Amino acid sequence: MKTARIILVYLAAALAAAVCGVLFGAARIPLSEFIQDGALNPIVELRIVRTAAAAVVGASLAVSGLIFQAVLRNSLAEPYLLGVSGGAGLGAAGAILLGFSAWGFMSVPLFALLGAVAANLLVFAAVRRRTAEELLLGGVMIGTLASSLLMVLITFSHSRDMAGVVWWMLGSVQNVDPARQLAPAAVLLCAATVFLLFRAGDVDLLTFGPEYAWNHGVNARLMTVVLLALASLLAAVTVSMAGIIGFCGLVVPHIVRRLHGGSHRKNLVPAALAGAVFLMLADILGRVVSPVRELPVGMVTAAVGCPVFLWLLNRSRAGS
Amino acid sequence: MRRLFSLFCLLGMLCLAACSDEPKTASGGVVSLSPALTELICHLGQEDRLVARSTACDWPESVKKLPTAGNFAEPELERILAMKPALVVSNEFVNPKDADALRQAGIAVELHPCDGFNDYREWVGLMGKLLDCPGEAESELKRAAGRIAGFEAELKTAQRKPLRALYVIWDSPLLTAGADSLPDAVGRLAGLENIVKSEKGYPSISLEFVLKEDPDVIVWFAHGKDWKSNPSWSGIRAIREGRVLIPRDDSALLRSGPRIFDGIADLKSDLETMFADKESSGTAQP
Repeated sequence: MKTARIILVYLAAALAAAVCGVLFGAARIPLSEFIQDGALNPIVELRIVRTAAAAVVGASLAVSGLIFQAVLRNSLAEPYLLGVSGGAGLGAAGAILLGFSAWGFMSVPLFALLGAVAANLLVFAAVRRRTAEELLLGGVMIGTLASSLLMVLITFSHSRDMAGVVWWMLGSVQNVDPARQLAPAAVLLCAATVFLLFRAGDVDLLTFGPEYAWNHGVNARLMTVVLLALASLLAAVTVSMAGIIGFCGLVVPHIVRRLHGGSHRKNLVPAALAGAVFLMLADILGRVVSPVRELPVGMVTAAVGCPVFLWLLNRSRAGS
Repeated sequence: MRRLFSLFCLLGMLCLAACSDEPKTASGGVVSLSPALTELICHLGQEDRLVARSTACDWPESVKKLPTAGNFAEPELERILAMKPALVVSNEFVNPKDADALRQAGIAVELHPCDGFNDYREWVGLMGKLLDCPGEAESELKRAAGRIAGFEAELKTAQRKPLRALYVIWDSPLLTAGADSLPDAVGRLAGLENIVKSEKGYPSISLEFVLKEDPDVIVWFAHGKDWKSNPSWSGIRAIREGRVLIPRDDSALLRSGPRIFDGIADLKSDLETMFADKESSGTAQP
């Protein structure tokens, strides 16, 4: 199938998921009640924002995961690898447990973003040679350190605060500010996608190793750092917006690569759209299955993503 | 033979008495790891028996002078053992292994739920026995029964139907009080009806559910948190129309302690003032 046709199919799936995201939820709203007294029904408004947030977060995580897996040449690579989840978790928990959340709604996301970026910078500063393998190891170390510090904070926390931290770590797209969080994240996603489309050839070469890329005229070390920093920034922004959502950044790139081959020029937009569809559907499932309590979206992505991925894995092995 | 039989009977009775769960009076210091129980001990006139408190115990003001010995779920074992108290009281969240360690050191430990009026009544009776103040406990039980009966009588004669309420314990995630919780029981006596009926305890609920239920009033227990800075909250009609009530002292309402009845009375009066103002300005919903 040609790339344009593939993208059209994914675009149609994304539009269908978005429509479902607005139509279904905890409450049953007939189409006639979508507009009330000349204004949008607040429930529909809430659904539009959270569906858009799920799309942006899912797409960002999928793009980030695709880049991580390509540059690190590691199938287990995922967006939070370079200390992003540990740093963001520490930042958010610090804001909640030390009382900074009283400063306003944006304080927790801001602290999470600062934590993620700080952990990321620490990885780049601490690793001297900055090859893919060493950055990977540095990321695991800083991530572990941040997670340990997070546990220390949780140990000293009040139970009510802890519920906030735990929920935040499970991920949710319910509380996203459209102007202050969603719009900047969408702009970053678009800019990153355009940049990566221009550099897709370099990413393809890096998947064969830094020496191979160097021999084909790519500054492999610089490109590795730029790509990993960009992928981590995408992950950090999503974490600050919706907490830690696992599986999306790991599973979606694998699925897209298995379906459409290894060219990143061909894979990038489908991966972004597939990530958006995956998270929008997971969010719908989370609010339909349990309307009052609502399942955390991170739990749904793991519950749905794991069997789907294993099925695909076994199917492709049987085929080969 | 008859003497031998009598001796066996006596021994048997002694063993049964030793094994029974009947609380014994504690002669010595008391460590309270629950704010509600600390308040109750002081209310029964036994404050001088307290030797340590939990980090959350902050009322009456005078207890803040006492040393802390952990929080309600995690006692600081070494510190408590060094104090050599006769009794440690807390709710059921304390790790059973910690409780066993204290018991092995010869300290009496009483751990029971403390989240409702029935729990409160049971604790008052138990404290009367443990602290050897049955008279004070009896009068507190009478006072509690009288206050509850008074609120129920007022509800029967109330002209307005119960207001549908959302209790916000934490704003993000939206943590609320479910069907069998203390805020639910407190709110019912104050003339409120909880919109969360199908979930028990303190569940985290979806904003869409709140928008669908459209509560008449929001009781805001999320101390120090601001609903105005969270854009997701602006869709809720009660928020837009200013029907958010912050209790004067949320600790009085969130603890099954002696101040809870004054807390309910304050909540009732604040609700009446709020809706009287709204009715006079024509924005009251119910």
